[in-house]
Amino acid sequence: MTEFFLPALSGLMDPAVLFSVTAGTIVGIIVGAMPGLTATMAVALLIPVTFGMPPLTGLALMGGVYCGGMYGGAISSILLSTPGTPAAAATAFDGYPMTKQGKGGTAITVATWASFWGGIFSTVALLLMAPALAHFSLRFGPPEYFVLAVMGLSSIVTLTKGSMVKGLMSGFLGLVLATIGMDPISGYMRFTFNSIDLFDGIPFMPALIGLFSVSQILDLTAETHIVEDLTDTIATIKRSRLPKGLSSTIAKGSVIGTIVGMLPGAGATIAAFISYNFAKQSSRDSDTFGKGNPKGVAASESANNGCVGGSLIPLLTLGIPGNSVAAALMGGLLIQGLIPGPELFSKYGAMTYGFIISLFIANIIFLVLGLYLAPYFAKVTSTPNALLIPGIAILSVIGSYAINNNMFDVWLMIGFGICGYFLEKGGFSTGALVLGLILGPIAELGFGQALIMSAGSPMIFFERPLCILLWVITILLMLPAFAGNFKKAKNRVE
Amino acid sequence: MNRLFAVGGLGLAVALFLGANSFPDRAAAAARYIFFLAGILAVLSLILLVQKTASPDSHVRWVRSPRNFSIAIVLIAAYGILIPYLGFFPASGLFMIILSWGLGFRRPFFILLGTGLIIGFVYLTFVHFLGVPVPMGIWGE
Repeated sequence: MTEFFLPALSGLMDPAVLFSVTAGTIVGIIVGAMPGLTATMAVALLIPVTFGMPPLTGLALMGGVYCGGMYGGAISSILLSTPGTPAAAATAFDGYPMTKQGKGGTAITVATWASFWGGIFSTVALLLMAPALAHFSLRFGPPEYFVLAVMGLSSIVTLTKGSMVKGLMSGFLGLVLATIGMDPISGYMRFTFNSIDLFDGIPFMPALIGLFSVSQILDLTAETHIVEDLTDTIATIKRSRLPKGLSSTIAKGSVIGTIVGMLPGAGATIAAFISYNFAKQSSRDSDTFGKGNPKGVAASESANNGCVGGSLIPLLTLGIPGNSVAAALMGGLLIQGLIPGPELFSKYGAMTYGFIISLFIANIIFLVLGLYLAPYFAKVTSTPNALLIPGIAILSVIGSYAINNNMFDVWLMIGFGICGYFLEKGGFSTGALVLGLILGPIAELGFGQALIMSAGSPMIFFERPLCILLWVITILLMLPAFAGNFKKAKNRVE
Repeated sequence: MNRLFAVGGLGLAVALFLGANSFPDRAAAAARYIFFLAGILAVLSLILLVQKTASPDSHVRWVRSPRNFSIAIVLIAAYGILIPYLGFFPASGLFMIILSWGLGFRRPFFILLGTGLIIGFVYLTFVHFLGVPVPMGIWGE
């Protein structure tokens, strides 16, 4: 490996490569911050552009978009409660309350540092341990995916602020909505009412935009500004300090992101929710989560950026993309005649290691940009709501439309927004609903395939070592929440 | 209000049960999964129905500003209806101007500036750079 380092570094010193990674990161941040525009879309659109470029320049451009896109989602999630990417949904739980308290700049700074360390950790893992970790990811079969989904669903307990019954109902409502569309095992169409638009199930992005963004703007109609205290200037926001005690949360989130990112199909969204759950359950001030605790932002952002390097591990070593962006990146590799596998690390070692090192540069670029621009981004919240509400609505509409170029998705988004508003007011958790919606298909597919493997015996979920490990972690994560609820109930009775 | 949500949950559970009951034999596994979800949803709804302890959200104000809330809902719906006819950009311009005014903002210059900025930004990122098609309405083919 070391023999490729010098050629890789000299390749990176090419101004064209440095320019492309910088441009890619900036484009990625903009794309990530805009709901409806995805890093997958941007990378896919860039593939024909990179065809005429030298391989390293093209790959550095796409890598920059990937890193920047994953980070950019946090900006709109924190400031407007409108996650630019699904992976940034968990960031809004504490990021938006921080914004409402006038700490939007600090929240973005926390997100920037957490994203940076998550990205750096996963890239180090990719650089040093890719082949070994790739084989570990192949040990995850359908039973493990099912238990991983259950572990993610256990976050419902964490996301529930008030009544546990309502939290669970929200999660199960999400699971029910996720059953709409084709059954993954038999191919039977369920609850589609013969509407072609529902054959693929409920499109996730319009639902997310509706539940998080539209419900929020409806609530904002009662206020004149998002932030009550408008005395903050750029200078005062710049002077705000990074909260202490985030390092262990960021470290845990980075590890979770890298591991979950390696698992094909799992993805950054699940990683962010699991990391959020870990952070809350292991925190002494767990009651402040959901009310503007910076640890919530750090946990979610370190995990989703940790997925970047993680998802590239099976891609570069085995040709199995960890998520949709990695799949689009695979197209970029193939168009350059680079077949993922051992040859990438031997015959094309200089180029591959150059690409991996360019990810470090992309992380540094968004760190500098993010830290410098955070106060300016935060000033968006001083815009009067009367202007902000129609602006967010327009972005929500185009964001929902752009995924499938379909007005049905726009109506779906509006419907989810209105229902989400009333559910949230009624004490239900839209976060838990989203979680059910994301994890439903993974849980159902893993459950069905595992039972086929075991000829119908559910013991398959309790016999495999990785399954047992995941069950133990899941139970450990749920214990503190249930113990807390039990204590509260006991106090009420007394 | 909890009772209303509980009844809604029970109704959904019954609908799911009836729907899954009509699945063909080849989708038996899918039906079992739905039965499971419907069962849990029914149990949770029943618990919510009989629960006597007041939840922390029992005194919530459902709509804090009925006037602004209604204006926003009506105009968002009208915006959705108008897009296929007027096209995305004219409908968005109209929507932004009317909603800002309706929410009590009385500075026409800033309304026009905000509208221009949003529409310009969407055009540049979505249409110009990324080539994402937007509804053109009567202006398209």
